[in-house]
Amino acid sequence: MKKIAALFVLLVCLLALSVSSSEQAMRVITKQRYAGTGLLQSDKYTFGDLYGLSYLPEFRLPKSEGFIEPPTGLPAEKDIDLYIVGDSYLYSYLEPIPANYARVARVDFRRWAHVPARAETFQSARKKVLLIESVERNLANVLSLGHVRAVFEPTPPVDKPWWEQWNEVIKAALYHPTLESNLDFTLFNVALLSPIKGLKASWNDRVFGRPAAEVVRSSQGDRLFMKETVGPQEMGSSFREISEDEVQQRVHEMEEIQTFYRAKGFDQVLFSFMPNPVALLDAQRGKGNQLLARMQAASAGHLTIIDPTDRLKSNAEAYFYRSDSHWNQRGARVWLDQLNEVLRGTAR
Amino acid sequence: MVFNSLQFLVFFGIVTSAYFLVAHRFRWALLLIASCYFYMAFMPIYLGILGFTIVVDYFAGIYLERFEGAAKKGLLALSLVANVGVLAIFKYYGFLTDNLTGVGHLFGMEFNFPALQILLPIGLSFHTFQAMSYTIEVYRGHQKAERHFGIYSLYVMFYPQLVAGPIERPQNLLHQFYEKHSWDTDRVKLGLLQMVQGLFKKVVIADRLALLVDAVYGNLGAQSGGARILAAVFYSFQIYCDFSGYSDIAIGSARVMGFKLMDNFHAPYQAKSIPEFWRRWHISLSTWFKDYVYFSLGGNRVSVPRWYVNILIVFVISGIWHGASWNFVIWGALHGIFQLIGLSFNRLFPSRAADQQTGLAAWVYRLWTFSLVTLAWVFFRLPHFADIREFFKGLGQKAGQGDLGLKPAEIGFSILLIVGLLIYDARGRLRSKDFAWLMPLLVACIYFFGVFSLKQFIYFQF
Repeated sequence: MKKIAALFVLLVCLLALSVSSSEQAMRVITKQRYAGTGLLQSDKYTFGDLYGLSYLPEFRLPKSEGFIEPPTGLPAEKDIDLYIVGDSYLYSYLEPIPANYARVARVDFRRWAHVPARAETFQSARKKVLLIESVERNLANVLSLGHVRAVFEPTPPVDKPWWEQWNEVIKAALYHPTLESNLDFTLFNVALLSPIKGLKASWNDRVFGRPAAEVVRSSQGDRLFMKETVGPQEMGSSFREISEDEVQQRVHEMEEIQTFYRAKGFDQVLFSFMPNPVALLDAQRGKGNQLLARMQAASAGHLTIIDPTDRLKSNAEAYFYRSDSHWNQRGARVWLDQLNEVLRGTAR
Repeated sequence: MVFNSLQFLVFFGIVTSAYFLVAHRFRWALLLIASCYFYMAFMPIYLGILGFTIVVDYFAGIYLERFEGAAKKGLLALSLVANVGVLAIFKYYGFLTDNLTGVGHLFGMEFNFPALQILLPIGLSFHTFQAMSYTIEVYRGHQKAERHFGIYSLYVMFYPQLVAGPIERPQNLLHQFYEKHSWDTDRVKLGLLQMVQGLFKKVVIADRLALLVDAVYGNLGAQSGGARILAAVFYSFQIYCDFSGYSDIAIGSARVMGFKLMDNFHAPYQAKSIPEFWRRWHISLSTWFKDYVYFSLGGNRVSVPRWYVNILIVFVISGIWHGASWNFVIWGALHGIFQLIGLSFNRLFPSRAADQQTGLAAWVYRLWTFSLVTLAWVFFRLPHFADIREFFKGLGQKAGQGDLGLKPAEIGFSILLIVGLLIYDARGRLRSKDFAWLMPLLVACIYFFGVFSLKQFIYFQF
């Protein structure tokens, strides 16, 4: 009997380890977990990513899924190839199709994490427009020529000493880089356990005022925000003190990107940065750094930045989820309309 | 691989169940392979460093038995130099060259030492000391040289105590690899309970206290004197729960498979004096220093001044063992000085010696000892002199604007946990018959009250 029990434990643990170590198995299990609403399926992102990080029951709020409908009344003329480097603010809401964009004949959308197999040559007889998009909290991480280039051309291998190369090879063979989170997903990311997670979250929130490591409540308590957008010490915070030098540094990065891709044959390079929701919905909680407005002012005249802050601010409550770090479909529509105004005006 | 991770949970399940399924003659191989896998989670290539010391000490052990006189002494010295040499290169090279460069500047000299861009192998000081204890014991004739290379490798690499101890002696551990450990339900229950107890100390107490300690020490200038003192006291318990929690998991996981590792902690904050504290704190290291350094220097069988010097030397070395930085040296020296003051006090007022105290007086001595230990931990926690100065400078500061990292309710909860820990330390004992109710209770508490951040154990850096 003890041998059978030991064998059972061995098999279960081996199964968990092999599934969590395999890219393919994780893809299958992820697809299955998000395919429905059963108790053995995942509800981590069904109610917003901030709910998924905190599991606070009062933020278990319905969230619309899917892409927004393409806008109507766009010009019939299609003379632009649009290349976009962007994040989940775009790829979760906008299908990468020309029908969404004014004058666009072809869309090439790439996530920031995209690793290209070969270098993009940008061959086209049409006008070429490059759009660089990021949420405010990630600006410091992604806004550089190196990062943009890495999305379009394979990064040359860094010359490392032999022991470091061996080290990486052995480690990759033995340990999946995200093994810990894969195990967490495989073993515990099922709706069945959500009430228990909710209980713990409520306790920490009500008794200790600490909803979750990555999440904070709004001043009114009715919304959740990413902690990294709020804490004055956090790099991506809207309340971190930012020097004029740092603003100039960001503008310099954009100029470098624009110069490089203009030389590559692009007719226009556009930048668009999404404000942290906290900057629109809970600005009074601290002294905001106004990073986006300051970047806009510092780059006036030589860079095109599409800043949706003012338009979103006008009705911010309606444009953002209470339990998600992103805007909703209406917010995405506001931004798309603003982008299309710029694309319509692109020189012919 | 850290003990407070899901990876370890799965790893432990695989290794332990496989251990009871395979034949006894293959178990050493299973454990050795598992230990290599465990170690390679950090920096696989550093397995080569471990391999180097294992090979050197394995052959040193065999030849130490064959040689006599000066040759034997020379061989021991060679083995110790090889071990200490590895430590010197990986742990102390940067410290040494930085200091030599600094001293050179004072005398107008310019040194250009090559920079070694290397990371400190995890747990290096622990397994190096364990390997050294083997050759010293063989030299002293207390231990026969191990002929089985696999078993000797396992002695150095046994995964439960590989990266942060307890630092074992060959007499205690080596023979256990030859013994056949059958399934013993009571022992397995006790081992599992001890592991869960360790995890509780780590994620419920230590990592919670760390939230306040990190917030206060990370922004000292904005903190009041009260916040600084609270952080210092919390750090005393954080490091205790962090390290004794690690030791509990190590000892417990070995115990499940039938191995008995030495105890590393025995209610250290119940100590009435600094010498007693050191008999209760990190026992495997303090006894190592006593056996191999203090006694080698002559211990207390020398003149009183020399005895005092011996004590100071041991504590300063102990400080350096913890880290290549002056704050650790000061931490060690402070403990040495406290020890000397205590000894002098006992010689002058024998009836007031700590060991003689009972009742209320004993509690006063305990509080005093805890205060001294906490004072020394400030130097341990803060690596830069500017921070240490800032800590003491602002002790009188009444108000502070800094975030404490914890809200008042959680500070109160943390204090409750500390009181509970002290009571448990004084009276508690794990019993296998409590497994049925205690295990689910501890697991539930860990889940509901644990702070899960995959925070490394503090002693991993040594």
